[in-house]
Amino acid sequence: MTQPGGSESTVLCVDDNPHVTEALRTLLCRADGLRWIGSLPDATDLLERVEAERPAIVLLDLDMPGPDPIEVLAALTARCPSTRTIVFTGHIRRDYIDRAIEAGAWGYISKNDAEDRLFDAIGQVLEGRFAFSAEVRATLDA
Amino acid sequence: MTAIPTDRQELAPHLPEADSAAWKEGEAAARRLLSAVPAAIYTCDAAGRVTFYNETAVEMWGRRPRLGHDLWCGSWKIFTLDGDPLPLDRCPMAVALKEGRSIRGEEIIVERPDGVRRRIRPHPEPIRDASGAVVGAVNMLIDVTEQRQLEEAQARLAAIVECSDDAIVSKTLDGRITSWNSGAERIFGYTPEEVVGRSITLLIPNDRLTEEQTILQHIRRGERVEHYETVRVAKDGRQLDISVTVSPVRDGTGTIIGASKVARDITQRKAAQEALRRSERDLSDFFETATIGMHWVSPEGVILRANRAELDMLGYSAEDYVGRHITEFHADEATITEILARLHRGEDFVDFPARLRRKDGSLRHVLINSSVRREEGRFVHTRCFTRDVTPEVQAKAALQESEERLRALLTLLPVGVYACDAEGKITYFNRRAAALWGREPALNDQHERFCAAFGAYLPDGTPMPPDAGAMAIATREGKPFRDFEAIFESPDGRRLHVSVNVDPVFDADGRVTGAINVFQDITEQVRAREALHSQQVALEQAVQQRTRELEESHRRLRLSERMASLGTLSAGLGHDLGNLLLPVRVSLDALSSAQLPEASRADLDRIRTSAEYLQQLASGLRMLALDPQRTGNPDPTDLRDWWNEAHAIVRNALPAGIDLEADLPEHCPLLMSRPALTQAVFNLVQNAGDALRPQGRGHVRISARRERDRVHLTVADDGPGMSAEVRDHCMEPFFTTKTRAISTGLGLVLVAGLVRDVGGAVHLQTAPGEGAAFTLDLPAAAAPAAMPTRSRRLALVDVSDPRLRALVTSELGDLALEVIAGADERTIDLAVLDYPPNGDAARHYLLLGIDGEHPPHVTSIGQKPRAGALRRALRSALQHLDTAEAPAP
Repeated sequence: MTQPGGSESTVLCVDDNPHVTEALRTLLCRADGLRWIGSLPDATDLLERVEAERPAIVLLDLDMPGPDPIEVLAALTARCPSTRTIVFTGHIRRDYIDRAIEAGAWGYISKNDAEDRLFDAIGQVLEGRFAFSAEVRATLDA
Repeated sequence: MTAIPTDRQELAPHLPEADSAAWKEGEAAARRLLSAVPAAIYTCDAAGRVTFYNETAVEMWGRRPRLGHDLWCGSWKIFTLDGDPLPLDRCPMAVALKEGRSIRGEEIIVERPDGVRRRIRPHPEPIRDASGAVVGAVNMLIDVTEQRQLEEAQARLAAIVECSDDAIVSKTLDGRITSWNSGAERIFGYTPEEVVGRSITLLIPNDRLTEEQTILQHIRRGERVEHYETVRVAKDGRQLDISVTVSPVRDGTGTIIGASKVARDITQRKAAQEALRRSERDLSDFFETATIGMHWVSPEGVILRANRAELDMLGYSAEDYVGRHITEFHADEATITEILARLHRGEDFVDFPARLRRKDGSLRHVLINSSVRREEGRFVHTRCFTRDVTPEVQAKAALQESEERLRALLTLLPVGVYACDAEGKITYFNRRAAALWGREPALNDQHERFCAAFGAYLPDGTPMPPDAGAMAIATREGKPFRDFEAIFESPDGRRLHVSVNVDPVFDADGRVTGAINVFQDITEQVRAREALHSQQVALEQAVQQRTRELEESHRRLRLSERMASLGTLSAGLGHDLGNLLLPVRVSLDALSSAQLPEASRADLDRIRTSAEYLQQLASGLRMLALDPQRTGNPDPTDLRDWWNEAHAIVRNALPAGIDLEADLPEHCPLLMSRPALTQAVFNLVQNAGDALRPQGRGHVRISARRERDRVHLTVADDGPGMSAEVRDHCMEPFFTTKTRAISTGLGLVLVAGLVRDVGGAVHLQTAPGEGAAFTLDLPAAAAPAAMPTRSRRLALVDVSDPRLRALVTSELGDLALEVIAGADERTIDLAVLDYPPNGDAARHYLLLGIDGEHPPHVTSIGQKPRAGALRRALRSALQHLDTAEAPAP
């Protein structure tokens, strides 16, 4: 799971639940080709952090205090198009999905899915593919 | 009368000798005297022999009689006044000699040898001797021929004057009336007795008295006054128009002694003249002011006279028109040739059509009527009446054109149109009419009347003969028909319902001359109407049913509000559980790779099992939270897959001590969403748990079996079962056997609603002491194995934005399509393109091979797609492809 340049792909995580960010850090540090570069408790500093570090992937929770993560995502898409964001949330709602895609998300993954699915999604997005988890598709079809 | 010797030879012997010389002297003197008398004189002796005659007698007779030989007379022939021949021995001389008496007053006609006849009055006088014996006679013949002629002329003149219609009056030079004929009496009313001797001024009106003086002056000068028209007064005071001719009257010496006046009453003539003048004025006025054009033409074709209407019609002045030849104004060579030929033959024209050229060059259509005027058989001129019929001709032409257009239109009309005359003979039909009849009738055929349908029936099937149909009645009674329904049968037995509209056609006098029929095929409408009727019946039943359902749904609405708040709670729980379980799972994974004692590893496994159970519970909670109503057209739910996800939450619905058992077949998809199925089964299981709760233990069993296209999913318990009453009412809203504290009374109602939404049904089998079994009768989904019977579909994605291209590609992949990004040799099934199109359209066509045999289905994607809508659009495109390819049934 590497970037075209052959180096590791960097991942930034935004989630207000420290248990989750900690779990993700643990998981990502074990994964080949991915490099954890840190986490944010909300989206307040996300733009600044991305512009500074240019991560390949941002994992973005939606249910957080602070600014609306989807609005920040829209700004992020405009400012740093090379960084690809995957929404990683327990809230699987059609209106959230539509807003996230319009704002520039490359994927929408449920926290209820197994961790493997998250890795698959990160891999697909890095390859230029789009990532939905099964629960998201079920919601879209409902 | 003195005896005069007329014949010396006869008379001499009777004379004494002594006196003989004196006698002879006297006789000679007498002879000379008698010869000189201007009257015809001759003498006869007693025997009637002529003894003497003078020269005047010779001239009268035209001959000389032989003396002493010719008897009685010297005439050649004599006649009575009546013209009868008179023998000479009966002439007056013979009578006088024979009877010895004088004859007076008789007249005879003497004819001379040269044929000249004279009227003669003879005066024979016997001559007696001294003894009184007749010794001869002397006869003087007076020629009264001229005198008698004059007398006759005067008598004729007097008669003429008397019987003249004119007044003939004579007067003296001082104006005194001297004669007055019956004409004067008749004209002026006076009798001769009343006016003779009075002044002529009696007849003259006071204002004209000087006229008489003037007339008399002329007369005195010997001048005639001729045909002097003036006015005179009749006895009754009427003023009379008279024409007077006055002539001087002269006496035998030529002296003017008076005047004769002939007066003629010209009152009537004057009136007639006035009438004639008026008539001429009338005629002229009529000619000039007639609104119809008139002109007179000479036999040679020259216009002699034309009236205002004619000039106005053609725009010419009289100078332009009169005196010209008619050929100059006619537009048609053949017409003018005919006109001139007829003129030459002196024939009349009756409504002869022609075209005349106006001064401005335009043409007028006219009808010419003419009559030849002849005098003594000679053609004088012909009088032509020129009626401008241009508007009629134009109107007729327009009508013809309009008729042709109408006919063309009628031919094309999508309704049947035909017409018949008053007898019902068909005079016209259009193509559609023939198509609806299934045949073409003969036009104007006596045997094809009113309708050309092979058979006609009323909607109830009663046969309708042509002469009893709408067309026949309309023609006979002059009534229109509207939307009259009938059935027409064609020769091949096809029957069509038709709607017939008939209008009778009237002439200017209001008589029916035929009818027009417009009819159309309403077979489909009739069928639709019949179907509609049965639908209405069904609808009424459905409305009643729906009313009942509405009442129920009203109650369900209140329930769903409650369920919505429960759903929000469930969703929050599920989300939070998911958030918590992620780090648990990650931590467990980390621990499992560490070096741990066996006992700790067993603990770790128990923790992992609990975490997995919690994970399933969270998943079940989310399914309970989702609104099943929003499930439109769900993917099939596989029973086994669903149960793996849902069993944890379902099991939670049961109190402790109650066993849950599931026996579900493999590969059993059904058409109900996972949340709906979860909520239905959860409620049934919860209901069973409630029933089992009092006895503290028992079994709940979930089983399913497939029967053709249905799946029967049963939730059964071995609880106390239900009474018949409970069984009958348990599916009704708010019915509950439990206390309100633990039941909404809506659980089973919710189940029934969810099942009905997918076209299923709920059946309950129960009896007291025998437990209860709820069976959901649900629609099965087709086996997924049927899908890949053909090669994968090929989709072309030409979307410029890489992220959207990735989204589309991902979705197409999820729908099992193979995605390519550029031209390919294979046939493309589906193309997803930018909207608005990116780049030139030609590129798309090139890529798609759009003009090929199998053009792809094209779907466009905008700049801000909705993921759900995109999925539906792609799925719909695929269904379209499947439908298009499906073989015809």
